[in-house]
Amino acid sequence: MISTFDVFKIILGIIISVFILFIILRFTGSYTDISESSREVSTMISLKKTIEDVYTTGIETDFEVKDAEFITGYNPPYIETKVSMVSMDPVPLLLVPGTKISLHRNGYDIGWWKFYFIEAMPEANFLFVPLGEGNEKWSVTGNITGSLPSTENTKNKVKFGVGCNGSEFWFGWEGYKFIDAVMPRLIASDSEFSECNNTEYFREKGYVLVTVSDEMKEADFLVKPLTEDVGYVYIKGDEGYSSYVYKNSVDIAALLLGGQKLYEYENEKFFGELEVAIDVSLKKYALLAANENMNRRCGNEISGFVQTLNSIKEIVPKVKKQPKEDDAIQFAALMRESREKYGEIDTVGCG
Amino acid sequence: MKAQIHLMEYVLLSFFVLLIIVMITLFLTGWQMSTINSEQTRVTNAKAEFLLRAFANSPYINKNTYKEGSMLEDSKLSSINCEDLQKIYGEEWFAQIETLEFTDECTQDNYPSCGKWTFCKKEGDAIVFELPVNIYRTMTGEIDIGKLYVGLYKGG
Repeated sequence: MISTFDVFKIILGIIISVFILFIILRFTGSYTDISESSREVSTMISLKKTIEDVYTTGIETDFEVKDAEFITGYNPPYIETKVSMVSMDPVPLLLVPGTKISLHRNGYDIGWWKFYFIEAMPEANFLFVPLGEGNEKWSVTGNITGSLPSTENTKNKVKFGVGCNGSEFWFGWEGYKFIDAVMPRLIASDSEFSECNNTEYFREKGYVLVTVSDEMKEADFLVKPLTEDVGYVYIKGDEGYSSYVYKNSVDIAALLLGGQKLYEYENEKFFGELEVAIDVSLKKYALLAANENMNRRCGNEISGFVQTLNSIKEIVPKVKKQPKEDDAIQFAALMRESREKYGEIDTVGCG
Repeated sequence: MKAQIHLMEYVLLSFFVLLIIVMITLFLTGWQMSTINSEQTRVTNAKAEFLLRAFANSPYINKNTYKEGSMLEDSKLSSINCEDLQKIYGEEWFAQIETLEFTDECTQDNYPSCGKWTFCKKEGDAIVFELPVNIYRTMTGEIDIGKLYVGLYKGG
């Protein structure tokens, strides 16, 4: 016969057991979540540190994350994962999410100013389709290749090629080799190419076709140069073509790697830094020109350079966002002029 | 009476079991918190170190022709200010550059006979890193030896 006390013991035992089990399960669940989150945060911190190291040293490297879904998106400057968002500021980063990525520092160098940015991307294959006559298509092709990573020293490769001639194409070179060894031969032999007729094959194999032509063509990614530095990029989407004015090859690289979002982010960073660089240079040369000896030695050169910088300063607000064709051409011409004028200052030893 | 004593025994036993569970939970949470804190310190140190290296290599204060960095140019240092650098490197930091030869703070008036540049005032607790640098004297073409200090405010 069970006594009242035994019944009490059984009920109390059940209540306490359930309670303990509930707490243990709850805590184990939270603890597992926390551990998982901590691991993800650690990976993100490690990725950020690697990106910063590449930015400050210029030494390229590889980085691997545990699975393809680890990075859920890149909303510049934030890299998003399931549990966190990590800002990559102040490093300008052009990121294509992937499991195995290679990180490279690239730059826009104009003598008196350098704009460094990081390109982080998985393996990729770019096939150029240069159409039309003249050598402009080759200089644009070379500039685009130079603005994308050259992966000679990393495991994850970005390769370049050229086509098409019917269904034939030539492919498999990394950046520097493509620019230094392949392109001079193509230019010297005056090679001509036509539109690729097997685009579906390239899509399936993961090639990115970059058509360079001075006429409108049916293409997924078309670069239509107006001058050596400026032109239009047309990207085919579900609702037709989107067009963008580019002012340098960094704009094209940003559009190739991440479309409009990356293009706008890259421009924001580029012009933010350019405005600081202009202000600092103007103040620097005002300081130097105030010195009698310096003014006598290179006053003329400084005055010419300062004039160009002031012109760039005036045009920057017009080209910062959605520039007009004429403004972009003027901006690119002024940037070239500033490089030449700075070269003159440097030659007389006042750089 | 005996039953009441047994009852009390069970209540006490339950109380101690619960107490042990709560203590284990608190211990594990505390341990997790301390791990997070040490991770936070590591992140802050890494950020301060990054800023130091970014300054040492920054094209805004380095001489243009020295791509490897650590060759700061006195005319650039005298032309740039805290706000300019904050636009590029963000806030929550300060930096100072000193030459061994001159200790006067550089202004537009005493340039180039000066040897100290301060960017953004130091306010509050900060993690400070330092690095020896070269300072290129634009007017004379000479190179001085100096030190670059970069501090990041805690929690910055």
